[in-house]
Amino acid sequence: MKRSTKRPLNLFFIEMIISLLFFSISGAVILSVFAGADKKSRAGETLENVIVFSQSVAEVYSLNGDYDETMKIVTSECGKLDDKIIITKDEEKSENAAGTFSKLTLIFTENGRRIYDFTCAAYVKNGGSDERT
Amino acid sequence: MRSYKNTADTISTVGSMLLFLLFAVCTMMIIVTAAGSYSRINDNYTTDFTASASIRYLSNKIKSSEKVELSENGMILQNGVIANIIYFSDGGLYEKTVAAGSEYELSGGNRIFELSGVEIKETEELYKITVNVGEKTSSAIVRKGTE
Repeated sequence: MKRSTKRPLNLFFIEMIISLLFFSISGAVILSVFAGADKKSRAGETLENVIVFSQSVAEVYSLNGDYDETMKIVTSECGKLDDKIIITKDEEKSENAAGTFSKLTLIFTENGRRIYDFTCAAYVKNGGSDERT
Repeated sequence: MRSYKNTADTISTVGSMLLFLLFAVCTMMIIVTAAGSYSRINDNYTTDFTASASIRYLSNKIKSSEKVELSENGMILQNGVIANIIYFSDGGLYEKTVAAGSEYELSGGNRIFELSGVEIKETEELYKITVNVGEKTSSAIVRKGTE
């Protein structure tokens, strides 16, 4: 008799614990999904900025064929990228009697993760005039 | 015995109501968080897309034109006997096609993008395009073509 009177209360507490557990797990999963979506959105924004920046770099580099001069112009006109983004460059130059051919590869990394890389080139004739590449 | 049963029933009833309240509060919190998150992501996406698409649109127009002439509110792009007038007005970027050399008004163009502002500057060898979308400002440089 004593056992039967306690049963409803015990069942209720078990139900409550299971419900709380369910809400907690659901909340945690949903919040982590939202956080992931927000993170991807920010990553997309960063990538978009990097691509527009790269486009400007390619345009200016095709004029002068010089990395330092290009970055100086682009950062002064378009602003700097986020400090978290590290740019690694690889520049090759080959000269001949008519002019200099330059090839620039830029690799953009954020927190050690490679997010974008591109290559552009320029041909600058001797004497300063240039040709589109 | 009866008193114990009554107490148990009361606790069970109140507990059920509290559980429902907890469920309602949790659901509301999740809906509010989801709405905020979706709204922020959607706004960011729209802003980024509009900024980059408008910059690319203007860059491609400049590159594909034989002659570019900057005006107060935009630019005139000439290709043979046709001139495309791209101008900023009333919170948007508009484009209008007219015969080259003809008189025109900055009205009646096709609305291309919703923007807060556009600025195109010219240096010796480059064009600088600056686009404002909401609070975001995006700039790009385009090399001048061989006219």
